[in-house]
Amino acid sequence: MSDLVITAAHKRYGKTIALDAVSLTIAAGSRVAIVGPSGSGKTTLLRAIAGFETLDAGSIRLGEIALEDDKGPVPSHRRQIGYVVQEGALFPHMSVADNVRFGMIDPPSARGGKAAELLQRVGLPPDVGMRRPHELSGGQQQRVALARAMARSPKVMLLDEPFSALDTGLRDAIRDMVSSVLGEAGITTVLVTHDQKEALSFADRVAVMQDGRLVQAGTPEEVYLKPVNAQTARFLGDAIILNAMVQDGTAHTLLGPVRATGPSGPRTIMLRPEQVRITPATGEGQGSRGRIVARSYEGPTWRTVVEHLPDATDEMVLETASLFTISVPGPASLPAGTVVAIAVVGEAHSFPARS
Amino acid sequence: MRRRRTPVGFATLAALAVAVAILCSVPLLFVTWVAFDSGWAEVATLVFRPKVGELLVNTVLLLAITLPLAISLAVSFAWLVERTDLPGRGLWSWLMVAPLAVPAFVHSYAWSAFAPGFHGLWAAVAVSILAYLPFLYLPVAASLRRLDPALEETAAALGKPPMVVFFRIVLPQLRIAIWGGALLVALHLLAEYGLFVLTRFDTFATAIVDQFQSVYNGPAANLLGGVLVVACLVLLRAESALRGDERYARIGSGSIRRAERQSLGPLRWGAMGLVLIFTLFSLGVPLWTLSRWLWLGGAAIWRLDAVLPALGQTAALALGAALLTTIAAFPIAWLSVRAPSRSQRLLEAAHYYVGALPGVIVALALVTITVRLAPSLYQTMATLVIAYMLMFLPRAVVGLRSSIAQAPPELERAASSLGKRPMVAIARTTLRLAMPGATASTAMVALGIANELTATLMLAPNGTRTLAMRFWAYTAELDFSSAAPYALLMIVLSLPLVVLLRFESRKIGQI
Repeated sequence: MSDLVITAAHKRYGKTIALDAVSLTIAAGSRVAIVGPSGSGKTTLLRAIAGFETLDAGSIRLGEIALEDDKGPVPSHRRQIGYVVQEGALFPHMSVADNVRFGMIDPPSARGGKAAELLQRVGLPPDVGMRRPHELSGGQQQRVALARAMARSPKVMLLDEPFSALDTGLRDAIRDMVSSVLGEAGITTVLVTHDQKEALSFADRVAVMQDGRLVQAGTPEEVYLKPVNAQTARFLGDAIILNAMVQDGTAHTLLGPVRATGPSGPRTIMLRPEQVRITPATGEGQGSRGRIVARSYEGPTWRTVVEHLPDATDEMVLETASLFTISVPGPASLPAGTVVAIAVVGEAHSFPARS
Repeated sequence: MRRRRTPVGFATLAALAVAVAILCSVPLLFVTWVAFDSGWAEVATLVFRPKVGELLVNTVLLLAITLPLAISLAVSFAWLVERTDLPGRGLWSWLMVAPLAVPAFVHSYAWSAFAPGFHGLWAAVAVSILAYLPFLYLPVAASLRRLDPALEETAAALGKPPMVVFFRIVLPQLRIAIWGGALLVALHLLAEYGLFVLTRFDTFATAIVDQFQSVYNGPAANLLGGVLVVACLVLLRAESALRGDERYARIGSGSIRRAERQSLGPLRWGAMGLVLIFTLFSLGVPLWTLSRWLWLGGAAIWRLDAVLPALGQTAALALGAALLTTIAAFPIAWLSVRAPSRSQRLLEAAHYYVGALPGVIVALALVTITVRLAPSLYQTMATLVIAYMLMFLPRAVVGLRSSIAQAPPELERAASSLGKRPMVAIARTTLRLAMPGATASTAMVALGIANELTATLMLAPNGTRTLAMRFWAYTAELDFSSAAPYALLMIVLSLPLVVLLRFESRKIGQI
């Protein structure tokens, strides 16, 4: 199988290290999202796979073929790798059909029919072929860009933030379309994005980059629920990070005892906000209590800020007061000042304690 | 829908703009009048004759050889400087524009002194390319800089090797810049007089001036002028047809990344050689010739009793005319910013088209009009100044418009609500704020006028001696040495223009 294998890739621009010993294997036919804050090196990595950047050291292989190694890079036009960028980059001086035909290697007589078929596959009516790129909406342009990249039947498709210029509603529709078209064709796909939701929903594996290094790679659930450090945890979504004392699989935190991963001892634990439930406190119950500080309506949920109320019995707890922001679903209205009981659902993930 | 509010002072300035536009229509009225006045029989005998055929062939050959060569050179140089790792790119980007500082007729003066036997069509082609290449280089380089590299990368990812990407993706995007620059060069080729006299190549412009100098206001010169105007209109039409109305702007709104520079590898020395040779020809030869004649002439050629009055007269004429041009340009520039509309654009076009006509046509028209209608104005400074105004009006409008656009219209309204009359309100706010920009644009117009030769030769009253006229008189007598100080002064006067042009093209991407 032609897995895409990146080994010890290094790249620096002057003093800035863009890629620092990045190794990543992308299985043939799989779908990988590379995420990270801007400047983390994710775009550099993608451009190196496409052949637009030359590595300082390291290698990139596609199955048996070396795309780049000590002998130098294969020029991008011989790599058979598809590439779709944020704005689509349609050629403005060509019709839509000519754009799609641009990269085809089929005999000329077959190209017209194939272009029409590709446009249909990305969900565009056949008469779009005669139009000019600027006459299309952003979403349509992105569909054409995908059809054009598919025309050469590439083994790998690189997507460089292709959805971020689109409106929110359209974005999901285009993402689902791209996902199903590439999935049916069995094309290995690498998506670069700074939108964690997009990465988690699109990919079967997520690779997280930070400061030029690949800090974690795993399934969306793994990286979301078991991030390697607090920074990654926060990047992938809202996170509640607490100091805790872990003993035999139970973390003692200011929210009370919580099941937790990791060895015993002082640790840092992470909870996702959806693991925290609040209910109006009923008298002097056991467990952790808090008070609603502020809330704002967000449609399906209330964004609610809760202040934890310290309790004299929390001897093991290292922190004494804290504010959390969580989303409370439904119409339930918990006005500011309400005292609530705090419960934690599921297991907390723990990392070595913050120094 | 509510009617759009009429800006303060609209009526007065619109009336003034209409008046200037009417003045601008003088050359076209002249050409139409010539055709009707002469009668068909005379038109036929004077236009359909071997001499005109020969001039037409010369003009077509000149354009057909110069333009493709100039386009290929400009695109190659712009690509080398903007898109490759050519050593010394910063310096080259200046040196490619610098030939503009040398007036075209000084270029050919340098070449006829450097290589006395270099005459005819090929000399005319070569010197034209050296003198006018920056008009193509500037817009092409600016377009190359603004091109979205994602287009080229996408084409490469679609399996196209670099050469194919260049011809199918890059070159089509440069079309507007190429045709715009080529039009500018072509109009200069039609209008230029001095360059072609010195390379002994007959064009309509040289023939008209010759005719004019032997028989003032003769029908022969006027009808040649008519043919020349038709040629200009054909070029203008061809350019807008070739350019089409297609959209070449980038689709989408994201910020544009700078393109990677391509490594030339061992080819870089060949590329260096190419730009070096061009620079030696376009700058080295004029500077070498000039220094040589200045050296040979020594102190004797700096006859201050002649140089200083010429400098003074040129300065007075250029500044006076530039001031008038700026004032005449203000109404339309203001309208185009404050009250853009379809009729305003038509009015603006009337201001622009004269700038595309050769100086000889403007001069012929003014001579004919003054002789017929106002003999007292014939061969006076007033007529010369009006000719300058017509020729340089577009430059002034462009310069003024950007500085007016920076003054907020609320200030005019505020001033008028504080009880100022409309014109006073505009003068105290917009005019005041636009002053620095207006001063710069006046200076640029003045520098252009200072180096104008053709219309000056035809219209200047007896006794006028500008730098260009002095230079031309000495060159005609083959006294290259005495001409050298005047050439040097004209080059020095042109330098600010070159700096500004390069700066502007970097800023907005078009000249």
